[in-house]
Amino acid sequence: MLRYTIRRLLWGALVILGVSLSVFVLFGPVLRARSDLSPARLYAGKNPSAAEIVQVEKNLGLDKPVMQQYGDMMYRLVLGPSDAEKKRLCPNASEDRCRELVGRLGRSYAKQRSVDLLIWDRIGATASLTMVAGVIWMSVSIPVGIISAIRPRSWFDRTTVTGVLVAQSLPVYYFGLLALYFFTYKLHLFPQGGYVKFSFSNPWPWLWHLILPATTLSLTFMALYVRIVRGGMMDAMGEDYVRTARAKGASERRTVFRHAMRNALLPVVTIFGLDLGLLLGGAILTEATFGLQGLGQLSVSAASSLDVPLTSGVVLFAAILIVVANIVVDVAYAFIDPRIRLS
Amino acid sequence: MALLEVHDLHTSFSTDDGLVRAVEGVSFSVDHGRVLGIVGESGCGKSVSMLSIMRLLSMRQASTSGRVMFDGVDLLEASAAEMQNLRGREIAMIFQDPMTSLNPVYRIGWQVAEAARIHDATLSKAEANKRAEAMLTAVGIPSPRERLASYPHELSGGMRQRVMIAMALINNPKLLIADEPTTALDVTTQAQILELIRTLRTDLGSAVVFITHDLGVVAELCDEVVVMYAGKVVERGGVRDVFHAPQHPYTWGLLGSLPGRNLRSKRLFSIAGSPPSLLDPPTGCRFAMRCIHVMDRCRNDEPALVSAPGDEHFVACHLAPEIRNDAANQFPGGTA
Amino acid sequence: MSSGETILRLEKLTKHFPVTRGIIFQREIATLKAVDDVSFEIKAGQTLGLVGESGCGKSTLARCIVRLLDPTSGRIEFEGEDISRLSGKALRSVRRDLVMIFQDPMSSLNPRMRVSEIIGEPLEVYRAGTSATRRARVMELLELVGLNSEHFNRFPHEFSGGQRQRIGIARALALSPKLIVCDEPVSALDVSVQAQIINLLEDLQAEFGLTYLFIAHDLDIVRRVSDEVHVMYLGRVVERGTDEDLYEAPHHPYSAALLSARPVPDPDRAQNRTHIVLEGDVPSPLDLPSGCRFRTRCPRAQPVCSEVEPELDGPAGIHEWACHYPLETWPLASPEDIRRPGSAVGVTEVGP
Repeated sequence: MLRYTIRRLLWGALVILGVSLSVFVLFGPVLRARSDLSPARLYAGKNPSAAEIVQVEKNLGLDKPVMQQYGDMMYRLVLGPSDAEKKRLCPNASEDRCRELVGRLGRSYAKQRSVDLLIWDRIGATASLTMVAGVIWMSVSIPVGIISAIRPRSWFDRTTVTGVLVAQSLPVYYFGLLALYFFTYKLHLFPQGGYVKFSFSNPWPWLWHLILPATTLSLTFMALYVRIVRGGMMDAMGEDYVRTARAKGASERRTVFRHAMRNALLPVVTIFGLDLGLLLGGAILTEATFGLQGLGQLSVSAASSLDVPLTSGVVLFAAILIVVANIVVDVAYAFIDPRIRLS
Repeated sequence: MALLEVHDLHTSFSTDDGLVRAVEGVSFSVDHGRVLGIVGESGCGKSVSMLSIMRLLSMRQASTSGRVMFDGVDLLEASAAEMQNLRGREIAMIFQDPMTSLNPVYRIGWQVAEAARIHDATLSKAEANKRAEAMLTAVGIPSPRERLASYPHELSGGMRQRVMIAMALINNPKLLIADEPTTALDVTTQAQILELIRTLRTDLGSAVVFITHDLGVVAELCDEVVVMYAGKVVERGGVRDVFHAPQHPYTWGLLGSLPGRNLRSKRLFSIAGSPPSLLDPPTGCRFAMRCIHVMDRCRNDEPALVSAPGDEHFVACHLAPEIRNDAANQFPGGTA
Repeated sequence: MSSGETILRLEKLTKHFPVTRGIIFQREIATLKAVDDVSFEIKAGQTLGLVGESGCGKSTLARCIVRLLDPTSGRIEFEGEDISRLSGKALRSVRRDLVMIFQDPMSSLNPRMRVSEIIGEPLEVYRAGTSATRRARVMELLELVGLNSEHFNRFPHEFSGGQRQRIGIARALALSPKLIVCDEPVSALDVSVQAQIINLLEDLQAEFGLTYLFIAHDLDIVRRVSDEVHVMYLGRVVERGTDEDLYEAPHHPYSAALLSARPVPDPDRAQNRTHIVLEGDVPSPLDLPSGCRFRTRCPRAQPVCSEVEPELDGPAGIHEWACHYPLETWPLASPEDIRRPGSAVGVTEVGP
């Protein structure tokens, strides 16, 4: 088990290395070669002189060989910015100010703030949205999927199947805008948008602001998960061991909940973990619809303002989240499925 | 009265292509302490009949009629709760594939003990475990205490089938239904499992219905045998009568095509063609289109089971008894 | 090649699969000895039967012979030429003469190809004839295996198991091979259909002088088709001989146990005979017992059996066995007869 975990971790590190390399290549040499996005044009103000351009490139470390630039980036990612880099990137600032300007993921020039802090400011909204949405879609889709599977072709099942189809074909913003129109503008049940920080003394405002966006976000996933749970459960109900359970005299309830369900939900755990990892990188459409200042919004604004360090920082961050989610899922799966442990 | 009496059992499935009449008019009975073999090729309805008796088929797709008297109770009329109470306690069943018949995510001990605990709410966890351990010992599993904590994938096929048998027998059932329990196993493992079933039957006095496609296994284990073809019983009788004086052309074909019985013959006897579709079975005798003795009558009239030489020996065939007996005499050890 | 000459000769054929483990760098922690030191020869026009239980290495051996797997060591001589290291063009030309038919007729036929394409594929791959002659050849093959021209354009799923196996046989015959390796060709079929396929294989052999390597776990079927039978246990041949030798006078206790375990389709003989029931399971091929591989389950095992691995040997002729304490009489009068005093391993005793 330990061996397995270590192997997964090492694999994860390897994948992150690969992802960082492609992020570096895409946002560095490739981007510069294929467009007029020269850093000098972005950072040195209008009509810079040749000397200014050289100075900017030197500050950014772009005069160094490409491999060394990548080495610098990895050093920064793992150990934090080096003293030399701090000196280059924020030459005249104090130590504290410099920490605000340069982080492990670099410095955003457009926002004059470190990418780490920009992400940290936004992660609360995105994480809250993801968690609440996850709770909503899991608590709906598991029971609905199960009931649908044990009563195939019943009215409940038919309604579910139709609902799944509708929910999967509606775009998120469409449902989001409908919900905003009815629940907020007509019925005044929910706030217009925005995000309130969670507080233990009164979590209600936090939740109140999240209900509509989280429900909207969860809808597509709910539909997908109902399908997965229903399919998994129908397969499990047809398995030989379910027949064995019935032949032992197990009640229908016991057969469903003890024997079929545990097997049927195993794959759901995997997909759930991966989806959470994916969503933590930002839910662009939902955040935009409900004016939530999350990571999705951050990446959109970074891209539209041609903020290369911020864009690449967000991409790298999201990629690391997905890799971490993969590892967590793999290890968790090994704990719940006895068959994995040996191999 | 026999322990299990099946009268005129019919089971059909509604499929997208139409109604599949998998079992049509099957009747047989088993007494306490006897082993009945049901033999036939894949798709002949032998497994479906057993699942119908146990009411383990999905009600949505399958419809069953007839009368199945078990110890005074009509199983087809019993309530779902009564059936639940009988299954695993009075009638137990083991299946063909021990790899898939055990739940992969629970420990062996839990699964075996569950069979006892379902039927005895007063049984404590510890007592149930103790009984499970005793059962694993009884079916010949080495170091049973350690095995209780194993998961199914950690055991060999033969061991898993032993676990299935332990689970089936933990409540001392009156009837054990074994659906091809050795088909997925190697021959030396099969010998071990057959040996185990023989011993347990003597020790427990349970009746056994043993489903198989292997006539050798029937000869080894059974007292009586039912031969099924395309959803119907074509021959039924004591195992010696059926093997030494077979009466139905299909039984002749089955016995004739066994390489072990027919070493000297130049060619193996083989039945031409393949069984009819049960979506649209032929009228008359269902074996007619493959039968070398076919007569006009066979294509129109369905033969009923009639008495044949021997004790409680029946056959469903229009051939004159003399012809049948002549053919039967050609089988080794013929007594008819 | 005229009948009676050796067509296939194996010399100390060995196939090991490395088992690796490691976090990033895989190191070999064990070897799975699937086939270990197997030698035999088949004469043209004859059938050599190979029997054993699952995991004994018989299918791996078959795959090595048709070079779907590369043997670890040893020689495979086909018509006098060592083919064990051939590759590319040379291997392709050998594969015209050396073909295989598989156990599962469903999964070995491509479900999206028509019967004519399946059977005609080898002809096309080897560019044999024109499209018209290929078509005629496919028709001829269909007739030969008992199907007819009406089946030409159908798909595999439209056929029963027995008919699918006929298609597989027709495909194997397309290029008129000399040797066919049959890997459990009838074990997925019903009894009456098994007999049809066995008859077909026997007829084809008589007509075209084919040579078969016939692999199965069913002793009766192997006896029926074979001129010579080899019994395998955990990667090794433990006994070999003509069908008569082996079935009427087995000397290796494993052969005896196999024969005794086989159900006899005759209630009088079946219920009154001596059963030898082996105890325990086959050991893992990853961790073979020292000395004789069978000793952990052998009722005749003695101390020497765990020290010295017995070699195949016999007094004369082809009947040979690899055992320190072979059986001398058969059939046994009682299960006790198979035991040797001092052996720690028991047998389940069942009298008549």
